[in-house]
Amino acid sequence: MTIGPRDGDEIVIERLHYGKLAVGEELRIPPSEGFGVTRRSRGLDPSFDSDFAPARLLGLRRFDAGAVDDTNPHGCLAVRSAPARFAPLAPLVLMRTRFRPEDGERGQGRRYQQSAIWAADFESWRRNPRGVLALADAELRARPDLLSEEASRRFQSEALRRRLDRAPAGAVRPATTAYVVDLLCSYAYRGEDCLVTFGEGCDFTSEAEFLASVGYALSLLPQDYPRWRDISLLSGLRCALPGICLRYLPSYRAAQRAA
Amino acid sequence: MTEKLTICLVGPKRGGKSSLLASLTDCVSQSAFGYSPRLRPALQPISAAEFSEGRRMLEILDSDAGDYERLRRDFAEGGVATDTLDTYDYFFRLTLNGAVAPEIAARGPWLLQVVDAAGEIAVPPDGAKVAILNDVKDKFGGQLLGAEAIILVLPMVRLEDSGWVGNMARLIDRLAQSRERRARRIVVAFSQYERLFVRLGPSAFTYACDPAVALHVLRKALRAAPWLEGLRALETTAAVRFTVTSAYGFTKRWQNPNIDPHQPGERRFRRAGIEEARGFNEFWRPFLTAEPFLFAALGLDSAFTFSFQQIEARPE
Repeated sequence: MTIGPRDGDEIVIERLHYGKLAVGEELRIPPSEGFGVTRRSRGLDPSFDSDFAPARLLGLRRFDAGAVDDTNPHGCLAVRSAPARFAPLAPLVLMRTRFRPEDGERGQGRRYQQSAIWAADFESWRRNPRGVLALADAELRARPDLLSEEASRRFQSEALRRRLDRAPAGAVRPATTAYVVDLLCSYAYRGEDCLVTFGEGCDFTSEAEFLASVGYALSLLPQDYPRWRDISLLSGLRCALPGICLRYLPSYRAAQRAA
Repeated sequence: MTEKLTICLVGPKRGGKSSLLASLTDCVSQSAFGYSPRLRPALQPISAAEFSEGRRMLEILDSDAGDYERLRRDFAEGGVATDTLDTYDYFFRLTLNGAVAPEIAARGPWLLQVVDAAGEIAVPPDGAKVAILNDVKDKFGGQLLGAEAIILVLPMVRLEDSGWVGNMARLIDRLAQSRERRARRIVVAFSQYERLFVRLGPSAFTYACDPAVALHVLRKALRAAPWLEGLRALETTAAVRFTVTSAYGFTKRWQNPNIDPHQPGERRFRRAGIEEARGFNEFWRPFLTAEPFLFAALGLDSAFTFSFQQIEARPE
């Protein structure tokens, strides 16, 4: 794997897609297609494939539809530092995953797991978390690759190169942002795990607002903040990650109100 | 005494392995099988801990059986394809509460570990290059060899036109040649049996319930199976049976195949306005999905399990 620190605001992102190959506008899965890695950019070593499995990235015994609380059509999101096996490079991993119908986006049939994973250098994240999250919000999609695209292209594609925005657009909730900054500061030297769940309609109106606000909060942290690698973000996922886990769960407030 | 055994589900993708498993406990509880009603089997999903420790854990009020409940919910919602990132284990306790030969009763209760895996792992489409993680392949290979019983789940399609029959034949050949194989029982289960009767309306269940019809269907289906010789080689050390199954089954009361033509995709009939699984329960009765598991565990034949001898006998 060739992920390493880059200069300036450019971020280099290696990509891996797991799921099935699709056809047509509705991205229907033909009966002939089965599960597999459908795209791997040139900088990723195939021997790391299993480490990018959603269950492993989320620390779950198995990843099933029960782990998803997802209203986002692009898939639920996880952002975390890569597990220890990637050391010393230990990149940042961003994953979108969802269960989509095999008979197309508006289909009603059997569903299957479609995941898109980005691996980027950790320094870009540390330098500009706001820009990284804005980029993920705009471009990271759990969308199947097309059967019509040649395998040689899908498995030899270049890494994505993007310039990170220093001040991306996106509504920020000042009160919740301040709360997140407080929380991160209070846990800086405590070494304890911490899970904070935000719901829709009260804390944030959408995932985009959650990402913008948390990104802004993280951008206020000093680069030598001691627990950068412990910070993880989840959106639309019911599980939790060790360390400082900030989770956005659309159904959370509704469930609390019902209780 | 308690007998523990592992059963592996194998077959092509979309063959109905997970649906067969998801409908298993309902089939047993509704007695929708071809065994004598006097057998009175009971099947409870249990935890991995209960399976490994072998002792009963009294959780009378806890109906959430974890992974199996999730599988049943997914099945009710239209199904979720099993991924290739791992193999998945489900555990059950089987007891027989009725009339059964003492030598069989003495073996029970039975603790079953059922291994479900994506079809792409063992039977990928012919000619396809499916990128499966090596550790998952190795794990499932080990589970197949170590299992006491194997259930081959095949969709009721024209085998000669299917895109996986070559890989299926190679898998059976490799199993037959393996000296490490522990399987004592092998069941070939043709799924989606109800689809053969969609034009028969309310008479469908009457015909489907006739073992002679099932035997005729199996004979026709197996005519084009190039892997029969491999299975025959397995028969020297294992009991091989053929059966038909239907996870969707036939509707209660109306008796027609339980596929709602007015729903998009393939859905069972359901009561409008009632959410989740409860909407299906008024009509849903799976058919014979217990057969492969009960034979795999007990070695007992039902009216719908057929041996090579029965399949090859001249039709009367």
